[in-house]
Amino acid sequence: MATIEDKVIEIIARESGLERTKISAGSTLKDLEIASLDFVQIMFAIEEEFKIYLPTNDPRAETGTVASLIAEIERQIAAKSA
Amino acid sequence: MSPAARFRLDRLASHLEGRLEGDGSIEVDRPCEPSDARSTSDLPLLFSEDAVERLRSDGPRAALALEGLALPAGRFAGLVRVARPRHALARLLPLFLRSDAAPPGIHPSAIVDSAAQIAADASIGPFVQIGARTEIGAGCVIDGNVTIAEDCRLGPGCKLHAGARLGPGTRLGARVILHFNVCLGADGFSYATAEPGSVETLAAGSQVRTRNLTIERIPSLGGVAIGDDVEIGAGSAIDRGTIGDTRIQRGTKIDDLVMIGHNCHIGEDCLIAGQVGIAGSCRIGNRVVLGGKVGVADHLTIGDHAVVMASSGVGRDVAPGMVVGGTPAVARHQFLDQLLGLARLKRMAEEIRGLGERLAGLERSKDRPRD
Repeated sequence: MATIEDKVIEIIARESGLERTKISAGSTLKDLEIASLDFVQIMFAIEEEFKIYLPTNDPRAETGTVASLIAEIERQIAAKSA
Repeated sequence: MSPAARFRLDRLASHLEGRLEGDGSIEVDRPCEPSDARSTSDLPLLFSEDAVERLRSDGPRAALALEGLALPAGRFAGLVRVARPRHALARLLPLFLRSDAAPPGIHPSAIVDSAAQIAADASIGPFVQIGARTEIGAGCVIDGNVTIAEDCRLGPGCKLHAGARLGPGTRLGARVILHFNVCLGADGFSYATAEPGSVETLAAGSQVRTRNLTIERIPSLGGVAIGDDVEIGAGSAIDRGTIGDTRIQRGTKIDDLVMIGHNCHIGEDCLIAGQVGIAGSCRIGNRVVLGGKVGVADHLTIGDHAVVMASSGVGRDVAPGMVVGGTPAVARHQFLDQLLGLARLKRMAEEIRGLGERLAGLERSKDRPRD
């Protein structure tokens, strides 16, 4: 069964056109040179996948790592099931 | 056509401020796409893994490659490694420009006013018109079918490509490049009505309160002043000022099909991409970047170093150093949040409908008599 990390990396790869092997938990979207509109599509696809809303008007959203994005997803999923 | 220039790899490495690997004595004479590299003296440009995959197995002995990019072991006898490929191209490609030098002098078909002053080494092409009291500086190259009106002044080393038009009093600094059909110094879009017009009375509501009856023309008496090392792309137009000049300052680069209205002042080292439209009397600071198809409303100020994302509509001033996007343009992170908000609407509507149904169910169960 795919983990949250697998799904997030799959979404980033699909929306940005990057190869999966170039994306790791330690990558930031800025390091990956994700374009502005791809960033929006990635956030939207993650929200749809996990049925959550990400805090996107924080400029740090783009500079955080994939790991921090996964942590936020896990936090929201845990909060919903609590 | 002049013969191809040849350069040793060690000289290129030094010129590009790159790092030489291997044999610096190899000579190259043609930068090219990897898939097009056939000759041993070709210089393929390898800036990505995709580019490496397109490389043929034979041919060139040397390449220009991105620092750190993995290449097939032993494939090249010499390499120049660079950290910033586009900057390297800006240094590399001028070395390989091939064009016939324009002969100095005035083509017999050119019409040059007797009161114009043309530098002895300037080149004036066929069917060029030059007006009275206009001064053409040393080393200028004016290609065919260019029209330069009266009282213009061109600094040294300007290059005007075919079809460029300069209105009266236009002034160019040194080394200005105007591409095909640039138009500098047409009259501004400037009109007035005797009574307050429809736009002036639009302060409240959505109904026109007055009508524009007679629209009177405000002629343009000012000129256009272009600073040193400005480059203006094909088909772009910059209107002359009403009283003072419309100004573009030193080092600014303007793409094709850009419109800059009358009385605008554009600062130094700005980058203005294709299809930008700037309405009259705007003040654009230094080192501002306007993405493609940006529109700027009249009388606005965009501060130094600001960046406006492509296709944005700027309707209010932009503070120095801001990155803005959207229509109307807002701070970039706010714009991205707006986009995401739009994308979320469908799911949010479904969630609200679900909540409404649950609430209605709760209301019904509340009204139901208890057993």
